[in-house]
Amino acid sequence: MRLAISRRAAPQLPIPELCELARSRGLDGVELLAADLDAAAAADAAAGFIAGIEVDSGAAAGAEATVRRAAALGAPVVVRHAALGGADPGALARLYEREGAELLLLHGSTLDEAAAVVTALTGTASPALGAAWEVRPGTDDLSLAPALLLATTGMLRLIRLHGGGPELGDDQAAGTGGLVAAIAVSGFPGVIVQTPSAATRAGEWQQWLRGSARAGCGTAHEKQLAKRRTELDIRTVEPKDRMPTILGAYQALSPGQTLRVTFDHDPSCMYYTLQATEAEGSFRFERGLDGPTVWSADVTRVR
Amino acid sequence: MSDNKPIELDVRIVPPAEKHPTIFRTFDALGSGEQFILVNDHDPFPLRYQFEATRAGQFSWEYLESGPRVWRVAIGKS
Repeated sequence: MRLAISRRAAPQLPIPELCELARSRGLDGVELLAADLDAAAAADAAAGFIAGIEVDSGAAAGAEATVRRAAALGAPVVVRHAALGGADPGALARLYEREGAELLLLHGSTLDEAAAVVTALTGTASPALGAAWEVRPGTDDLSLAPALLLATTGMLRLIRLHGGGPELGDDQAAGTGGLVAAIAVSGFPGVIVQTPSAATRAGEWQQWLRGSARAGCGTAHEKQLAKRRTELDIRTVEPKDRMPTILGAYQALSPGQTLRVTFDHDPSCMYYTLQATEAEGSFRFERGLDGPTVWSADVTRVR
Repeated sequence: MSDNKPIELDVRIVPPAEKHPTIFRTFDALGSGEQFILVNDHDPFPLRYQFEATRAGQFSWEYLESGPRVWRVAIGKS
């Protein structure tokens, strides 16, 4: 399974820069929009790094120029099945097979939509065609996820996930853990594309992408600041920088001083880490707030 | 569980409050001898301490990739 990001996260950035930022985030690809194809074809940075090309109609999916460019980029074209209009999946399959390209029919999170895609794919029986699933954890019925994944086994090649990135702290993201576990257990072999839940959030996403590009100094700075505090709201720190920040703040305490940490998750991992890395009896750990959205803990350096 | 390809659980897209519960639920659902690959954007060493404290002797832990941007750990059930 691979993890990618949608062009919608940074619609203004030049494609090479977007690809570079995505790579610096450890991501495996970018899903582009049809309008990007001219620029993408010229961008070396994009080669082998395009997770998909989002088009909005059957006519656009059937445009020969689009199909050829997609084949050259090694990326599937993704079109909403309900937007195919009069386009015949069989004819599209023949075109994509001839050009050595791949077309994914996108469904939402209802069994009816998934069943329509499965029927279309079964009808054409073409290796050039596959399924894609667009899921919005904030509004979709995630209890259907295992059934949807089962219905599209062997066909599903891309999941477009609304949220992720800087939106993981939102209430809307609740339940994503179970969804990701269901995807993992299904053996899904394709790519998950994280995308902003609304166009208005692109600014946050671009900042998030850029944040990692200078994570080196940001982290050191954050640690330096944390050393002078006895209250630390770890929710404002990126997950990957959290434990080093907490440990830096703890180690800067004088005996008898207490550090209060506020979390957006259960702080057990902090307790077990201190227990494993600090001398026995050297700290005292007291839980404060206990979820479900905010947790806190006081850790006192005893000696 | 899948037949031959190991399960890959990418917690980079799991909200902070759900990360460890999701990982432990996935682990607890494994059969003896099965494993999954945990994917994360940082070294999950605090998770390992939590495993050691709560599931001592029941798990194996093998780094398949150690950064700098992506970490992959094979976590198996004894």
